[in-house]
Amino acid sequence: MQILKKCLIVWTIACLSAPVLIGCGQGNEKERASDSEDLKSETAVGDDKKVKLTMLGWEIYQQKGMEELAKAYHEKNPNVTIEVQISTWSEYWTKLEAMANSHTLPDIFWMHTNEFSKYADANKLADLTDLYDDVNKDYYKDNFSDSLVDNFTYKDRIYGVPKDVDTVALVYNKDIFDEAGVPYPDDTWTWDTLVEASETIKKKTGKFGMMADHNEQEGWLNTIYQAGGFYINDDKTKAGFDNKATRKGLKEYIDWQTKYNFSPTQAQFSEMGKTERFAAGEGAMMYFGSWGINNLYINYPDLNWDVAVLPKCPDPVKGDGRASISNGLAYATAADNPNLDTVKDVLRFLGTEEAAEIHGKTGAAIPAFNDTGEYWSDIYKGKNVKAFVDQLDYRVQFPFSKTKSKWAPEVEATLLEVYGETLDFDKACDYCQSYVDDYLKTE
Amino acid sequence: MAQKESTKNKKNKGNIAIYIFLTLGSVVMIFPFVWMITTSFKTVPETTLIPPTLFPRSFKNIKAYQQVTNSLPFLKLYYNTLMMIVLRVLCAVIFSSMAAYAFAKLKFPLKNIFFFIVLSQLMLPAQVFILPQYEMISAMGQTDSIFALVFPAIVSAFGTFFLRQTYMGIPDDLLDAAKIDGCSYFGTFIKIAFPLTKSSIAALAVFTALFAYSDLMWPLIVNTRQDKLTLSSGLSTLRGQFAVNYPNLMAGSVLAMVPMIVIYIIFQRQFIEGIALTGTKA
Amino acid sequence: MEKKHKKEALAGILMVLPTIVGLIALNFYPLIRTVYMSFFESGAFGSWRFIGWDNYVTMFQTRSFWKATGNTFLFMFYTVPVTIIFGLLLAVMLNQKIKGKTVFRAIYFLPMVVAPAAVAMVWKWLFNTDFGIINQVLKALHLPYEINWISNSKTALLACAIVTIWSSVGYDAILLLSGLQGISKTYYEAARIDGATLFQQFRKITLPLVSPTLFFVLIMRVMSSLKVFDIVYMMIEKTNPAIRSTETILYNFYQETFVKNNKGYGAAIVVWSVVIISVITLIQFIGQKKWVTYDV
Repeated sequence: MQILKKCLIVWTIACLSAPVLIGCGQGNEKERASDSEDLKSETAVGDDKKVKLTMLGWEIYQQKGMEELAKAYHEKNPNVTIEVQISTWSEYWTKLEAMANSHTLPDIFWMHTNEFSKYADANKLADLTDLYDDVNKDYYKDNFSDSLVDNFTYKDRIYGVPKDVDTVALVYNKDIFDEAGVPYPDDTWTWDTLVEASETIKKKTGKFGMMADHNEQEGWLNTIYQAGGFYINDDKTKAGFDNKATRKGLKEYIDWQTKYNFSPTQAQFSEMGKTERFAAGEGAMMYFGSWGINNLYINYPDLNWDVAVLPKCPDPVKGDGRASISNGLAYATAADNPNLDTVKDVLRFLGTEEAAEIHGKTGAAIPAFNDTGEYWSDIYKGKNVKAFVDQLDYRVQFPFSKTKSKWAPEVEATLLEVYGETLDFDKACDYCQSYVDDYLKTE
Repeated sequence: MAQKESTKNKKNKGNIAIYIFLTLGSVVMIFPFVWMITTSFKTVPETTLIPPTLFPRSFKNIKAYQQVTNSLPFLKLYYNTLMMIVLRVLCAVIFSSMAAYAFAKLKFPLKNIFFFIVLSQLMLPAQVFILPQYEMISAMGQTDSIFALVFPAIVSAFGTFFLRQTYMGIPDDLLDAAKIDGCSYFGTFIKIAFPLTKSSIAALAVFTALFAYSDLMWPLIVNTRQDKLTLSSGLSTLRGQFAVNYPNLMAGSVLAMVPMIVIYIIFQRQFIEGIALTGTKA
Repeated sequence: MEKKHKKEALAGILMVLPTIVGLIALNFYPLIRTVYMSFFESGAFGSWRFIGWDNYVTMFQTRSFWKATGNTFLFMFYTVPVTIIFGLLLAVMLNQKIKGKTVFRAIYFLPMVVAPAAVAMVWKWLFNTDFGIINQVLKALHLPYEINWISNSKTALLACAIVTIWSSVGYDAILLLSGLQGISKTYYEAARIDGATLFQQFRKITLPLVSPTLFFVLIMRVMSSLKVFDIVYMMIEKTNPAIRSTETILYNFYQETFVKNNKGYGAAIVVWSVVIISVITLIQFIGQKKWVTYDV
C-alpha cells in the first residue's frame, strides 16, 4: 500500500507539473495577456484613455483568428486592448441570454441567423446601419453580398457586421476513386453521375460511395434548391413541401441512402458519423461544409482527400440546377454598451478588407467581405478548397425564420421516420407543410 | 482444532470468491479508462481506424497533451477547481451537519415543511436553477470569480439529507446523557454527535468534491474568462462546434482526473480506519 | 418543561436556518418561478403570455411526451435494482479484511471521476455493432452478437442504462460503505459465537444497521434515474432512429426549453417531472417504516 501511495503521489506531481513543463515557453504569452492589469472599462472620453474590451465567440478553432484581429486593432489603437473569450456552442446561447438579461453582454460577440430576430426584436443590439457613413454611405452594399447583410437587418436597420460565409461542397477520397477506377468528380457531375460513381465504387471496392446522412444544411436542403424548390418562401409565409421541385430534390437525397446500398444507413450513421467514416477511409464521398476543412487538413495529413463543387441537378424544374447552402455569422454589440463609440470603431475595423484578410489567412472560415475567399482557400495547399469559394456564385442563403427553432426539429424528426421507412414520403411532406405553415402564420 | 481449521477454510474460500468477483468487476470498471489513456497517445487518424486499435502506435506521442496544455491555462484551472472544491466542501460540511442534526434529533416548528424544501432541490434538474442564479450573481457583480463557482453549493440539500440519515442512526441515549450532564443542544451536537459522523463526513466531502468537479454548465455560463473556468468546463471549450479531437479530449480528461483521485486517496483513509464507535452501540 | 421545548425549538431553527435560507433563495424560489412559468407561453426576453393550463393540455396530448415518460420509468427499472444490489455487494466485500482493499476501492471509484464526454465516447466505441468489444465478447461466447446497441430502438435505452450502472455502482458502494463502517464489529462477533452463517449475519445485522444509508441511496438513485438526461444526450443523437425510444422526460425538457425556446412548455414538463418524483419519493418515505431501522 505504501508503494502504491508513493506511486500515486509521484504521478500527481507529474501530472501537475506536466502543464508547466510542456507549456513552458509556448503558452507564456497567453498567460501574460490574461495576467495583465484588470483595467475596468471606462467611458472613452479622449483617445488617450485606456479601454479593455471583450470579444466572445464559440469556436475554439477560430481563437487564433480572433486574437490576430485583436492584435491588429491594438496596433492601430494602442489604448484599446481586446480580450478574446471562447465559449462552447452548446452553452453560448444560454450564456448570451443570461448576459442580455443582466445587461452584461460582452463588448463584441458573434451573432447567428437562428437567434438574430430574437435579439433584434427585443432591442438588445446596437444599430450599426450608419457605421461607415463617413467613408461610404453604401459600404455594406458595395462590399458584402446582399443576403449576408439582410440576415442581420431588422426593420431596415442593420445590426450586425458580416463576419464570414460558408458553403457546402463535395469532399472525396482520391484513393478510393483510384481503386475503383472512377474518374474524380468535377464540375460536369450531375446527380446521376454521383449515383453511378457511388454504385461502381461500392461494387468494385466494397467501400461506401456517397455517404448521405440525414442532414439539413449539409444534405437535403442543397438538393431541394438545386431542383428549383425551396424550404420556406422569401416572405417567410409559406413552406415549400407542397412544391413539386422541393419534393423532387428531397426525395433524390433520401433515396441515396434508402434506395441504393452505397451509403451507410441512418442507424449506422448514429454509431459513427460521416466525417469519422470518411476520415477512416470507409467512404468515398460526403457533402461537407467549409467550416470543417480546417480540421480535416490539420488532423488528417495522410488522408488523400480533395474537393469538388456539388453535382448539379440534371433536370431541374426551375433554375440551372446549381445551388449550395450558405450561411454567415456577424459581429454585434449590445445596444446599451457603455463604450459604444470605441466598440463601434472596432466593429468598423472588423468589417474592412484588411480584417477579412487577417481572418481568412488563419484558415478558420471564409471571410464575408467580397472577393476575399481566396485568402482562406490559398492556405490549403494542394487541395481544391477553392471549390467552396467558387460556389459563392450560386450560394443559397440557409433559410431561417423567427420560429425556426420550433418547427425545424419537427421537420427533422418527421424526415427521420421517412428514412426509417415508418412514414410515407408524401405524407411526411404534407405534414411538414402544414406544421411549418402554422408556425409561419404566427410570425 | 478441527473446528478452527474448517472455519479458516470457509473464510479462505469466501475470500477467494470475493477476490474473483472484485477482480472481474475491476476489469469492467477499468477497461474504458484504459482505452481513454491509450487514446490520448494516438494521433487523430489513429482514433478513427477501422477496426479500432487499443494501443497507440507510439506512447511517445504526447502531442495531444501539448496541445491541451497550450490551449488552456491549466495551472489556473487546477487552482480554480481546487478552491471551488475546498470551499464547497467546507460549506457543505458545516451547514449540512448542523441542519442534518437538527432534522434528525431536534423538535422545532415547520420541521416537515423545511425538510420538504430540502428534498425539493434534489428533485429538480440543474438547468432550472441556472438563469435565476446567474441573475443573482450578476446583480452582485460577481461574474468571473471563484465566489461564483462556489455560489450554487453554499448550502447542500444532498449533504443535509445524507447526514440526516447518519444522525438518525445515533442512539438517543447517548445524547440524552450529555444533556443531563448540562450540555446545551448545540454543545451536544458539537461534542458528541458530530465526531461520530466522521466516516459520513468523509463520504460527503468526496461527493461534494465530485459534484463540484463535474459541474459543466454553471461555470461556463457564469464565468467567461478562460482563466476563471474549472477543469471540466475548461476542457469542454476544446470541443469545436462541429469537430471533436479525440486524443485531445482524452488527454485533457486524464490530466483533469488527477486532483479528484488525490482527494479520494486522502479521504478514503477514513473508510479504511473506520470509526472508533465500539462500545456505544452494543 | 415549556422553556426546555422553546430552547430546543430555538436551537433547531438556528441550526437549520443557514441551509434553509440558502435553499429557498437559490433553489426553492426558482422552483416556484418554474411552476409560475408553466402557465405562460414564453417569448424572448420576457414577453410572456398567460395561457393557463394550455401547456399542460398540449403536453398530455403529445404522444412523444408519454413515450418519454414511459422511457424514463423503464430506465429507472433498468438501473435502480442492479446498481443498488451490486453496490451493496461491493460495499460488503470492500468492508472485509482482504488484501488490496485500497486498490480495489480506488478502481471502483474511477468511473466517477472521468469526464462524462469521455465516458460517452468510449462506450459508444464499445457498443459499436461491427467492432465494439461487447459484440466481440458475445461472439466469443457463442451468443447473438450482431446487436445494434445504440441504433436499435429495442436496445438503445438499455445501452444507456448499462453505462449509467457502470458509472454509478462505485458511487453507491462508497455511500453504503460509509454506512457499513458505522456498524460495530461486536455485533458480528457475537453472532459468530452464536453460530450464525454469513447469510444470516447479513440479514439480521448488516441489512438493518445499514438501512438508513441504504434508504438514502435508494432515494437518490431513484431520483437520479428519473432525472436522467446527460447520458442520453451524449450517446444518442437526434438523428438516431432510436431516439424516440430513448428520449426521457428531462431530455424532452431540454429540447423544448433550450432548443425550441418554448420555456413555458418546458417549465410544464419540469413540473410533471417534479410531481412524479415527489409521489415516488413520498411512497418511499412512507414505506421506510417497514424496513428501515434507525435506533437500535
